Amino acid sequence: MRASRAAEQTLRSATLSPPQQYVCRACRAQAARQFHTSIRGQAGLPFFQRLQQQLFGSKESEQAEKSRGAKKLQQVEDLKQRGSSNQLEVKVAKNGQQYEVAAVVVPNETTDYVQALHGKQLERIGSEAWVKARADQGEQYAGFVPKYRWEFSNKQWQMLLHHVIVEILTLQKAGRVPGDVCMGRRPFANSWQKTRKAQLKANTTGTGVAVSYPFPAVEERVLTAIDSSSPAESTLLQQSLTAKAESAVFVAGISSEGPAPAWMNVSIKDPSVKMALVKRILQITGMRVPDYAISSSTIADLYNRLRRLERPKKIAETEQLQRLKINAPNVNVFPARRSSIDKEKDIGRWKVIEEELVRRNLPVTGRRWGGVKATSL
Amino acid sequence: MPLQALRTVAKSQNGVGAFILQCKRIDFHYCDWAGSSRGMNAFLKHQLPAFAAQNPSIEISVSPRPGRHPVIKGQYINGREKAICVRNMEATEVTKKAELLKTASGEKLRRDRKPVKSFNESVRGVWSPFHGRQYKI
Repeated sequence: MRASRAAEQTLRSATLSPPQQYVCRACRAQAARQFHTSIRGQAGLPFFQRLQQQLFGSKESEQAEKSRGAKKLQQVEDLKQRGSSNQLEVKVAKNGQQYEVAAVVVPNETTDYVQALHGKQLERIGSEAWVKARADQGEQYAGFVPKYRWEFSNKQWQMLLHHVIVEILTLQKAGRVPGDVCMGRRPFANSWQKTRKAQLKANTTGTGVAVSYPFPAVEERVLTAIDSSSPAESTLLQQSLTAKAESAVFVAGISSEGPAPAWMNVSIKDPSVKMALVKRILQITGMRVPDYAISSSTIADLYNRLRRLERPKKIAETEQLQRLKINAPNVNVFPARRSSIDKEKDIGRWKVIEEELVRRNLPVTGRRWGGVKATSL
Repeated sequence: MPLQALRTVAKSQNGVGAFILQCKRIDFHYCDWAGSSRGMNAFLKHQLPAFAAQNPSIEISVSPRPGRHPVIKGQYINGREKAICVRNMEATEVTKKAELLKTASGEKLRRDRKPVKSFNESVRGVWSPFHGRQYKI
């Protein structure tokens, strides 16, 4: 049926002439204005001058090169003034996050620094050979992203998002970095149970969302459970982490269908909160949140983009036919196509047919594959 | 009138004593994906339970036939089978076709040339050239 429809369309398009598209004068003029055969910046220059600039450089490019060189020398001078080469310059970004500027190495002055001639001489961090070399030295490489991506149902996604956002907001409330949510947990912390009691409400000031706990002791326990000093929970413990997450988010009574619940209208426009959320989801589930989901402004948007839509039920799986199967004794509902073998099996003739086919050394099922022969009953 | 012997076995006439429905089984085939099966799918969900309850003597089977038009197949006591393709029909039309199959006898569709059908013999006897007024030249 599908093949015939495709064939009909192909024939129709082949026989009919292509429709002539009308383009108005204004659109034609606009297209002509946008059309350029040369690079804009160099369009005004004559050919010889353009060639000269490409080979020998222009005054502007020389000045830019000089200013970059001067900046680099200035950075080296600052480092020298700071005294130790181990100290890195600290910059404060707009959101208050502190960043360390990478060190500048001047090859002429550093004797133990040898410039590589090509990329193959450089050490590749994280490559298989590097990991193997480290493992041989006794170091066990612990990655951040789990090996396998775990699938969660919609119910479980709701619970997971609630737990993660509560932890992040609790950290933010306590003045800690939201990124610490990926750090290790103290043993027997049981923070999954604690965060379930937390509630998310809009701030009284009207900006953002606030997290509130029924008892301050619960909030304290959630904070102390996150150990900022320990490294991020690694893939070594990944299975236990995800098993914990799965068992913790297995909650009955939450509807998996329908829109996101009201508490999910939490704004995640704050980049530090969003980054922490995405990192934690990656750490637990192995799911790399796609760009269109990361650009969500609220958790409800994120949830709607991540959740799986319910697969439309097949007729045999619908309630009406399932009920009919039970209530009507003269009705048989089959979920899959009934072949001639199924019909023969119903009558009880298939055993005889199969026996005879085997006796005659003929294929029992299928006829295209040469190796299909029943060798034993 | 010639002598007629008594019948040892009674002539069966369906409906005189008991009525036996000729249709013993109806198979409904549908497709989950195809658009031509929409009416059939609606019939299966909403009207089949009532049809099955009204006809407990008919064995009904519902099975998918992916990528094909929906079909109703009826099997009869005389061993014959009748199939009706119900593509692009509404649920009510599918019901009518199911009723049609249910009430059919399973015999082939024939055009009746004679207006009267009877098992009874001719009352006045069938003509033959040997009986009747002699024609003399």
